[in-house]
Amino acid sequence: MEKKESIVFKNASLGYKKNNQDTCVLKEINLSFYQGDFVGIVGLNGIGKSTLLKSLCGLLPLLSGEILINQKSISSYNLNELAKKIAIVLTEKIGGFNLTSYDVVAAGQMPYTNSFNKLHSKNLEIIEAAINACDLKNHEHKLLNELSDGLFQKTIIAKALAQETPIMLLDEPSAFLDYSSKHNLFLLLKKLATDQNKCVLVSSHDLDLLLKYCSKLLVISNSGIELIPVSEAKTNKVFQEMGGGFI
Amino acid sequence: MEKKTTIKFLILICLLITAGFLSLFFGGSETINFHELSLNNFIFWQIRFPKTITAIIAGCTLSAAGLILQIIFRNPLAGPYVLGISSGASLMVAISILAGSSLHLLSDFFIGKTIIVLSAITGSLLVTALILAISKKVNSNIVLLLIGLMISQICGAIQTALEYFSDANSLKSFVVWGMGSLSNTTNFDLLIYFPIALIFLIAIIFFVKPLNALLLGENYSQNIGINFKSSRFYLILISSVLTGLTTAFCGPIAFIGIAVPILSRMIFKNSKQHLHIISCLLLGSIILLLSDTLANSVIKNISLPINMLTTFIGAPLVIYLMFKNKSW
Amino acid sequence: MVVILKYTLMLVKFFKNIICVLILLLLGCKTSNDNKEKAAITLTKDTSIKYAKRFAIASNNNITMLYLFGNKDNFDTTATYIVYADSSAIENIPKNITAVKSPCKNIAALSSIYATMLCELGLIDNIIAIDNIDYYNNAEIISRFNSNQIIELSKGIDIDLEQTIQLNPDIIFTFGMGDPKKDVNPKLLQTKIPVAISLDHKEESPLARAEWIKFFAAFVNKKELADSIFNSVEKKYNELTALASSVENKPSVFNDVKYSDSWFMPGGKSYVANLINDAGANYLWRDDANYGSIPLSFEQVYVKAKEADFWINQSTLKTKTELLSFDKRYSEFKAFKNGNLFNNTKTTNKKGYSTYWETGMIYPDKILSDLIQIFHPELKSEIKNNYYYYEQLN
Repeated sequence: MEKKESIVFKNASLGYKKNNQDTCVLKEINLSFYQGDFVGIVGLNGIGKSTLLKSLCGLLPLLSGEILINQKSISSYNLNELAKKIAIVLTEKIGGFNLTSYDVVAAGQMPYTNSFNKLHSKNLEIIEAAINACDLKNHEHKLLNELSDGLFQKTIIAKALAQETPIMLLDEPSAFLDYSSKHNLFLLLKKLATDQNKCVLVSSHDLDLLLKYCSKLLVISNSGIELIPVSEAKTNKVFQEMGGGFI
Repeated sequence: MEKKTTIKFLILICLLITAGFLSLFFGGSETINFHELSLNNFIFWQIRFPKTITAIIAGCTLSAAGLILQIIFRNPLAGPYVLGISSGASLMVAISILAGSSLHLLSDFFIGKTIIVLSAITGSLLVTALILAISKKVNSNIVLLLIGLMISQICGAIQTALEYFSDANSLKSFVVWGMGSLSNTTNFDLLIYFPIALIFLIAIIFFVKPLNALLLGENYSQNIGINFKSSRFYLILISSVLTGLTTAFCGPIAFIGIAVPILSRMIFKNSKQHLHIISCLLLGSIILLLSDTLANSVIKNISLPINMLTTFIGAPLVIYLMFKNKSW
Repeated sequence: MVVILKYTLMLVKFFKNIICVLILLLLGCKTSNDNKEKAAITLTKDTSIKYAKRFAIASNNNITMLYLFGNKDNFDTTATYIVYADSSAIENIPKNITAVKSPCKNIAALSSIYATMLCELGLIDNIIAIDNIDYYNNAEIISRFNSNQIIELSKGIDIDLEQTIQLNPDIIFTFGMGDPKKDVNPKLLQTKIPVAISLDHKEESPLARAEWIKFFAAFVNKKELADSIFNSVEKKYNELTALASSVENKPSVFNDVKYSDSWFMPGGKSYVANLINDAGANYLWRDDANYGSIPLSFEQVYVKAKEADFWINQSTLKTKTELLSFDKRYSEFKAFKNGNLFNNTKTTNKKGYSTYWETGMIYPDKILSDLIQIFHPELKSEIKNNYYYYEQLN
């Protein structure tokens, strides 16, 4: 079966716009990701991993070039359609206002509800499935503020799952997690990529985990951006210099 | 809806009816006998009735505005009074009265009221926009609260300064605007006050989804398909109109906007904003109705300022929240 | 009205600033009882003072002593002034007595009432400062203000201390509660510029308030003129009272308008209540025991006054439309429907302040003659003059 192109970057320059001044972080990149890909994004702090992920789901504006999702430019999607294509897990903390783990996961179904956010039984089933997939069943009614870092991270991932998107982006999801939770997380992500044919992009500093579970690595450095199969990692100079050499 | 939630709502509705009844029949110096109530009872229809309705509208609008502001700023310590939005509205009213009375614009009832309402709304919009710009630079909820209080003080100072330039006539109008009051609205005022409040309260219902999403912050709400910037714009517009409108008719009323959403979250321990909107409307009305009844009946023949009672309810809640690490 | 307005503003500020209230409470606890010593000289009491209860005068050939009774509940002396011509007469006087060299030539009169009293005593040339020109109708004072012969010293709430010290007047007349320690800025006390506190606003009867002209006269050596002015006022006032009391029907009257939440109705023992009753009318709050104003709600006023015959003193409002622009429900009063609305705004300055507050306090007979004509049009022929201060709202 030929793999379908899921994400394409065409001469895309990524960065920030502030006071009408562009700060370019990643310049004119050309990349393609496919369904079923489990891509680990590696790079030093501040190199542009988060920028890449945020630009991909429209949270940051494109400075130039194009990003295509299913052959369609992301600027031509409306927000709700895009929400059904890409789910993101960020590093930011949220909470308060009585928000429970369940509420956040349920928010993942928001793109599929009417304007009064009415959840039907089909929506509830999907939410339930996402909660079970992330082992949150016993914690779903806890307030976000009372959750451990691991459970909080799982809640956000469950939200992304509940969004039922072919693409999932995760920005350093393994930070703050204990060792076994990290493995469980990566196992889950790998399962999603292989079983559900999702395209999963995850940035992380846990190089050993990336090597162990991912199918591809996106190596970002000052000398450029490189997408390699994980099998080539051992021979990739940039990856080795970045810390891969210690493994 | 859960059974518990339904029961809580039923209790609130009963409380609202009781509070409305108390305000209508005991919220003044005279006790009106229900059986002797006739259509031409002036005290009942021209004094009590508009006061009770005003308490309900003011309670609804301020609580709803408070709920919206708390979600927009994702700060449980936000509210129209503490962020200085009411003072901004009040100041604009003072300015328009000063300018208006010198241009003799305010003698016509409808033109006068329209000018006052519009300037109050402009004032609250300006302060909300200012606070929003500032909130991007500060991370702390408490710092934002302090900045709001400072803005409120500045507006108060400008208003005091204006008093020195006013003549006896408009000075009198300033006194009218000095403190919050529910008893200044007449049935004629309600003809303007009620429909505008109703329209903008109904408008909130169409923003239930953005309100729920905004709890997750800018990035996540965009990622689940909500246009953050436009939702925020409309919500700010709604909350400013609600705050400005009530300030135009009642002056600045303290702490209702901040306290009611907090209370609502304490009573309904969930994050469903459609429930909170309804419960805020109910709770806001109940609290203002009871405050009004108390203000008029605690000491015989003396009516206490409404802000004194609302401050007694609201300020301890804010202090409690500041001490408690967990945010509601 | 102006006084009530000032108090309302003060009230508003008190609510805003609880600390202020605390400070006031602290001050209130410190009642001073050390003012009771009397000079060991023989003085004759001025027995011509019949109405005023808040001051007394005693004198001999060398000095005049003035006593203020500022306590709310009793008539203990709260301040003493000694007016002298020759400084040998005031050797070894106790520290709590304010000494004033007579006659005062340069006077700061910090109320339009005092300034007007001084004008009536023929001393306009001696007035060098007033409180705030906005309150004045007196053309002579306004023109002197415009040509900088008279300056303003308390445009705001506090007195302009630096300008006062630079001006160095012989005396400052101001109002207060009768205790210099509380009423006068402590730094001003240090400067030795004498400050005389007038308690005219605490008097209940209109004649008592008018009699305060004698208090001011004592500082400027104008006793005879003050006595003659007051005697003529007293005579006319009593004649008018007698005239009004002969009338059988006594129309009911209420007063003032609502400010924000409160309708400040003058108490049953107040100045306004006395005027209305002397004018042969029935003031609806005449049985009330208060000297000052009582804050009422619209409802309380409405219950009592809806059928009242007359409604007077609507602040600075000059027309019915203006009145209704504040509250449409005002039209529900019988007095409004019948057009029996009268306000003391016949002559006002451009800021809206009436001559009622300047000359009216000295000539209560003129106010009384207006009120009698309002309440008893049948007596117009006997009074034979037009309204001095009042006009009917249209």
